Amino acid sequence: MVRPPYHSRFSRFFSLQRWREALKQSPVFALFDGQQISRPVCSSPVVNVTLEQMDLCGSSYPESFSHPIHMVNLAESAHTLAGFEGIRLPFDLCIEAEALGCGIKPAGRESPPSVVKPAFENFDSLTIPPDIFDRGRFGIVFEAAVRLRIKYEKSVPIYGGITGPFTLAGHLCGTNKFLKGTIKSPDTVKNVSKRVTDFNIAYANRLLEAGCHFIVVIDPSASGDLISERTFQTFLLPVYQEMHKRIGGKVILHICGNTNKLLPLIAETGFEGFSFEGPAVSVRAARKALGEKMILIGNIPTKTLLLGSPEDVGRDARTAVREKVDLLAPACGVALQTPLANLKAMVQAAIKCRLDNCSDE
Amino acid sequence: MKEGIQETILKELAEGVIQLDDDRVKTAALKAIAEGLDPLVAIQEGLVRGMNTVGQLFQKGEYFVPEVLICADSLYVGLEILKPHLQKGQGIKKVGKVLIGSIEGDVHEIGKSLVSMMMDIGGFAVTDLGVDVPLQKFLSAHKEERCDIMAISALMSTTMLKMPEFIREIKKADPKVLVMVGGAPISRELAQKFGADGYAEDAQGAVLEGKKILHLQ
Repeated sequence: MVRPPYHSRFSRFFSLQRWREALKQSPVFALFDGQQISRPVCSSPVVNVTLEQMDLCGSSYPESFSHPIHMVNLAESAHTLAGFEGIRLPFDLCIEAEALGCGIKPAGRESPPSVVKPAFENFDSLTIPPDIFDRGRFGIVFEAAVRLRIKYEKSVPIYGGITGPFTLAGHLCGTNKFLKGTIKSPDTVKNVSKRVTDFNIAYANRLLEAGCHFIVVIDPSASGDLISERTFQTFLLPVYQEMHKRIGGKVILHICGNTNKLLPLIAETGFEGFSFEGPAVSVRAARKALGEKMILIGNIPTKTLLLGSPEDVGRDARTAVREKVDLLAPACGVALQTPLANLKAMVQAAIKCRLDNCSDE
Repeated sequence: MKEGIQETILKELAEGVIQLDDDRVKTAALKAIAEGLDPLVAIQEGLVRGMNTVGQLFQKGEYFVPEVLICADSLYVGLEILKPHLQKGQGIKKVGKVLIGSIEGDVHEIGKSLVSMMMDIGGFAVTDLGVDVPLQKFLSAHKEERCDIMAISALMSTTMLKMPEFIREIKKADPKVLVMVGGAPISRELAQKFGADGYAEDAQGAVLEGKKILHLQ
């Protein structure tokens, strides 16, 4: 029997008509609209690019960072090759920093570009030029988003990633200096955060305009491994709340590392989704702190994906599902050497869980 | 009486470091010199002892990276004042030589610098090779410096995969050198699997682990 994609197979309301409708629109949208879907769906708002995908889809690093067609090709490969119900672009956290003048180590075949030198000597000289979106690689990301949206419309969610305010401010002024500033010159740091946030919001809205369905704010420097709850509450919470207010779409926050202590504060951001890293943060802990306030996304450890077998991945995925994760996703951007079979194992685990209620065999 | 003054100054130095107060450290350091306190004692029993407490607070999750960075800054303020008063040959005795760097392809600096700083304060002679350090740079630096420990950090699971090769090559070049690894994706188990001699979860742990593998503790 052919089954509808996400309704329970016992649904009394099943009809071909509804199935067709459903096929047009990914259940991820229903989930973010607050509807119940028969969980889970495997959909990753974090970067999910591997060397195997590059070989198979014909678009690889580094050209996929700077060419819209290659970016489209590689971005959709997790969907077309592994079966992820989601497309994520771009693949690096340097778009903003690069356009604003940071020193960048260029991308290689096996490495994304990275920030090596801050753009501004001191906090006061930080300025965002008005024509910023005409600079750097912004245009490439926008074009890729437009093309993906035309191709997929709402059948697959398109996630647009941006560098979060804390991380971006660190890129621009030097992370150590910025972190120290939170204690030594809090007012200046607040001022810098405000300017960076305004830019973040403008960029996020441009991405939504271009065609992204969701914005993913990636903010590794806001990790509980680096900063205290107090710092988060004083400097980040207001900034995130501001972003939530002024970004014209749904936002997912991704913070790497151990965020257990920050969870009660994250619940207050207003963001619609939270993507977190296992095994440091368990789905159970996240659910306990966030309740139904946020869509929980995660948290298959990237280490399992990289070094484990498909069975290991399946086991971690079933644990996450049993603990009621909403979207099954890698805990963080996956390592390039990750076997494609392990990404497929996540998708298989999600489907299997839908069918047999996720019992361990 | 003299004892009392010495105690107060040492306590001020330590407290200044712990409380992130470089002015307090500065005043105490100047007072130490004015009172004729042995600068080496002031450094080790005052500043470094304070920093050890900071390391413990960091381990316990009471202090975070910004706090530790500023504590270290305060320590260095004191050090700048006290160092010129050390008598010739009365250097701070180093327990071992360390070469440290983030592995090739990895530009993450914060954690690595924190370890480098704590080991420096903890009594090691540290040469920091920076980030994105290729194997050759580790080896040639070792040729010049003849270090006891090589400390390699990786924050990404991708770059972590290069560690076994690095360790193998380092051991091939000099079987006597001890290799320590660290970084978010690494565990003690993995470190052992990679063939490393030591592993630490955080900066304070790295100091202890370093001393442990050199059999100093």
